[in-house]
Amino acid sequence: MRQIEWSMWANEQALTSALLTFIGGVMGITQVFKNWGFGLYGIIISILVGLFEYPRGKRMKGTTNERMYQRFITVALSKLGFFSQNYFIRFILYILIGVPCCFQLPIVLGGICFFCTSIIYFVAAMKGESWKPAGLEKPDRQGSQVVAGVVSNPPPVPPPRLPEDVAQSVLQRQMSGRRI
Amino acid sequence: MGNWLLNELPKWILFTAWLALNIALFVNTYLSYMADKYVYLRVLIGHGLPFARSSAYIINVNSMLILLPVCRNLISFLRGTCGCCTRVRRQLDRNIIVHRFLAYWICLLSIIHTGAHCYNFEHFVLAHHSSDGLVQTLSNLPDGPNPIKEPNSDAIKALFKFIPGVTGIVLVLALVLMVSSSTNFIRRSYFEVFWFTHHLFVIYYIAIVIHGMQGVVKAQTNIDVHDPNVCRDQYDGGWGTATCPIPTFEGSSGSSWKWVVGPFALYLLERCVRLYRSFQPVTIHKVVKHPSRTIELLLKKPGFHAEVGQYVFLHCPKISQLEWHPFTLTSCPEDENISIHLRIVGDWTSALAMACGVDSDQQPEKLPRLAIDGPFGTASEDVFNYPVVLLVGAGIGVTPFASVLKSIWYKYNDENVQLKLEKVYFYWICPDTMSFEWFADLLKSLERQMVAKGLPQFLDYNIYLTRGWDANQARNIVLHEEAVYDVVTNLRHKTHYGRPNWEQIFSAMAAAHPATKIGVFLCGPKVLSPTLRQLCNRHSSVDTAGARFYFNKENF
Repeated sequence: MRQIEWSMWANEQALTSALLTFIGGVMGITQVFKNWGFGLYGIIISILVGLFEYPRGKRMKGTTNERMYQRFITVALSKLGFFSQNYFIRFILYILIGVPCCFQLPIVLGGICFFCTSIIYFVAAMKGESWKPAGLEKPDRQGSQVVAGVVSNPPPVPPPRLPEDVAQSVLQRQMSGRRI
Repeated sequence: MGNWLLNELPKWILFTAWLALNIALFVNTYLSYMADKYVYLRVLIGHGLPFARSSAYIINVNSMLILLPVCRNLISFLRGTCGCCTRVRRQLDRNIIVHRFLAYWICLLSIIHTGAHCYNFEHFVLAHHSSDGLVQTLSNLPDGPNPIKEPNSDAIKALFKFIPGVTGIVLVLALVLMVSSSTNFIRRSYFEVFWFTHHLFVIYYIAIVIHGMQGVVKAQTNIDVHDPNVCRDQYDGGWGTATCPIPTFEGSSGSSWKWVVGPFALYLLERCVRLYRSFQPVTIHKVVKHPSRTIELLLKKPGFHAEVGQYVFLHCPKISQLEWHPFTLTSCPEDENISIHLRIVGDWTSALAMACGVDSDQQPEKLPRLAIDGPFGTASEDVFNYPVVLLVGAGIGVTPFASVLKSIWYKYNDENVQLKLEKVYFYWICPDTMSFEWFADLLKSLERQMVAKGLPQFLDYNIYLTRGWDANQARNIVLHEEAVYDVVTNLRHKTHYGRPNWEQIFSAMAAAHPATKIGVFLCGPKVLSPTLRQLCNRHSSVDTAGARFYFNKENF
């Protein structure tokens, strides 16, 4: 097994927390609950967290499965520099985000989930992980050459095949001919 | 339409039955909370209560169901007992999909349940400030339906005073952590995170049992003497008289345990079986080193019997006390030893290779102790039930077919066995044959034996290299175009390049085998599965004259 990158899990956890907070926030702004302002806070903060966490960071090893259209946000986030890259910042950020959630019933669960997120980010930060933009480097065509006999490029030309109808009849003849 | 029915109907029947059960239970529970004994409770909190309770009821049912697909021994047992009905049995192969589907469903229901209870709880708190006299009176009843007694309590602080409040938070937290750590990406990349976090399910089940036990939701017990529909307007002084005595209430005790205790016990039993098996002795007979960092373990375990294409969990206490890793058996039932091929790619396999002394030159004094859990069945056991089979192995997915092919060959040679199987087509699709040299070796030895027996056409196999070739290989391919043996694999069948044209293969097969059941077995990455499934449906004909394709997929 590869080395665990805790930040990847923290990232998923942050998005789940944001979703819960969003649902709670929508409930919170209905007239039933006191302090509907916290509900509004929940909605806004969950959208912001959603945007902030949407782009998956680059993995240390192996390919990173980027989320759909994450590149646009990755570009914006990578401009934030230290703020978006350091996980200690996220650790503190999610504690701060979670605190106001504890003042209204529907978003309290979202708040507790944010605390969990912050703990996982703390572990990630302690392990020395940091957020790196994924998918921004230019794809270099020269770079992927044959390395030590391992073929990494797909063949540039399609495999030689018989014309469609000929292939079909050959295949049929083969299959009906060979019986055990 | 008819073709579609053949492969997909049983699945949809099961789905419809499950959905009908859920809807029926939801409606039934909803209506039961509209009964007269809950009138006063509804006065306090409105319709949030029936919503919360009926979703809770279905959560119980699905929490029961969700454990069943992950009971491996149970599934193996069921697979064994319904040997005749392939159609039913094939539904068992979808166990993990079912498990995931139920999990999503539980999450959705939990949102409904939690949301409804948020409303309920807030209503209980606000009831003390209501302008409605009835609500005030009910809230101030000493043993009344409102669990919150202090008029000015804070909803969140009050939440922590109730067992359902605390366990509810624990439940949601456990569920969220399990969900966030079992997304495809995390599961595939960091399996340990997924595996260990998923054990929060124990906490989940304990909490779900305790959750309803306090009986916070109270039903009226004296509706026969105090009809709420009549007396509700007389709260101001009218209660306590002979016609309308003071209403009395009683909380229900939780019933979740009735639902979850059975499957939980089953799962516990499952783990006990594993614990028991971890003490059964397994001896390493031989360790063979193959090219591309692959090692083959030949093991011996008394009383162990596995069918073709099954897998086992391997455990090495010396490396880790907790980890069990699944490996496909590459030996067939006819073989004397159990064999497993494993590639040294991760921490655990490296440690195992080290312990077996593969990396160093000198033999270790003592080979490590191993334990085996299993075998567990997958779809390939059905191979022998079809007259014609099409086996498709892609990438790492060829492993189960090693034992399948070997077993077919053994059975074919055995005079005593009447084999239903007449023809085997085997397609192996991989980027390059590197790291699978051992499989090519196996094919080679099978081929030699077939030639020796004068049956070179016993097996029709096709190897497709998808990633291409380097300059050296290209030269070799051209030079040996006319040779009997293929240059890449050294086999009699020539290697193809590119991806197979499935459309052609399927129509040719349908034409070559009219009025025949053809079993299609796929093991490999997900992308191929829908394609083959569609082709199976498209090329099957409902009338008996045509070929019928049955799609089977192995799960990794």
